[in-house]
Amino acid sequence: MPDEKKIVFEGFYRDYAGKLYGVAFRMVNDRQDAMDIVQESFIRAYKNWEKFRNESAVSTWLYRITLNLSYEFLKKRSKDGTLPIEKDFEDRRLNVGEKDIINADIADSIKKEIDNLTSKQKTVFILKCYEELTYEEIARITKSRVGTVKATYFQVLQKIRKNLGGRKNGM
Amino acid sequence: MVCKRYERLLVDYLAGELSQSEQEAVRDHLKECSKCTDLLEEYRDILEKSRQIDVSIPEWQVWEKKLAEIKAVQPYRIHLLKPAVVMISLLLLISLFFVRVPNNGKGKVAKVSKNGYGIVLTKLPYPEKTILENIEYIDEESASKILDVVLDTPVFTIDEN
Repeated sequence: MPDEKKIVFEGFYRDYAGKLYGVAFRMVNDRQDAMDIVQESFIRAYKNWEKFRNESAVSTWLYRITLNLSYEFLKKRSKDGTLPIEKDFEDRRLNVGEKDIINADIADSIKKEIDNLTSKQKTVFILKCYEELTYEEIARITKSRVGTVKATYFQVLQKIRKNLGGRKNGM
Repeated sequence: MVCKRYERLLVDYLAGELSQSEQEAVRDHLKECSKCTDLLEEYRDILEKSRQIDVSIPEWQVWEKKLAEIKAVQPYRIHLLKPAVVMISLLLLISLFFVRVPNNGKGKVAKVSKNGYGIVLTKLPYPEKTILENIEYIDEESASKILDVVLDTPVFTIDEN
């Protein structure tokens, strides 16, 4: 690969490694698996680097491959019957606690609600809520219609609100 | 009861996915609807608390090590593969000229004759030949009918030569 392309690749790696880790971690709830997923995503991107034409194509592709690998991990895990290690969950509690101890319990309840979402719902929620992508960008990544993404996101929020009991639960 | 038509708009409003005029319409509605204002706050709370669920991203040093491993992987050499694929395709095309295409039976003589039992058709291409040979031992009248049908079908032609 020519040096200038390598520099562009490294730039992408710096910009997206952390983001993709966040997506993968929220999908699979396991630090090591998330790390493996991100590394594999970038290996595949590196191998195909010369095919990419623009930044938007690369980021879409990176999100897509990360999500696909996450689905594979989840599928394999449900087949093997293994669970993610508890350490990640404790780390998360610590981070929540550092920021706002009062809200930790509600955040935990929301976390459980997110974990109970289907892969498709979880994907849309993660990309919208955490990655702050537009409905259109999410539709491109998930290869679905903007209307579908919009409807899914609404359903997720409605479901979480309903399951948390709305105002009754101190929301 | 929350105004149904506004519920979805409230989610899109928080998502920053509404046009200027839609945003204004939502704001105007919120001024006069306390239920929708409460609902908007509930959704806003859910999103804010969801965002508090942090993921601790590994330090850059960890990523740097991984980057070295990634760069050790050999990229696909498309520009070297392409000529190879073209060459193989050309060779395959050239070799096709030397391969004998099986005769599909066109132009071969189909002999139609009557013996004491029925009709005999020979030298017809497969599968017609197989099918037609089976009518050899049927009675003359039915055979003639079958022959008429066969002769009317465009599946094969009986070459007079």
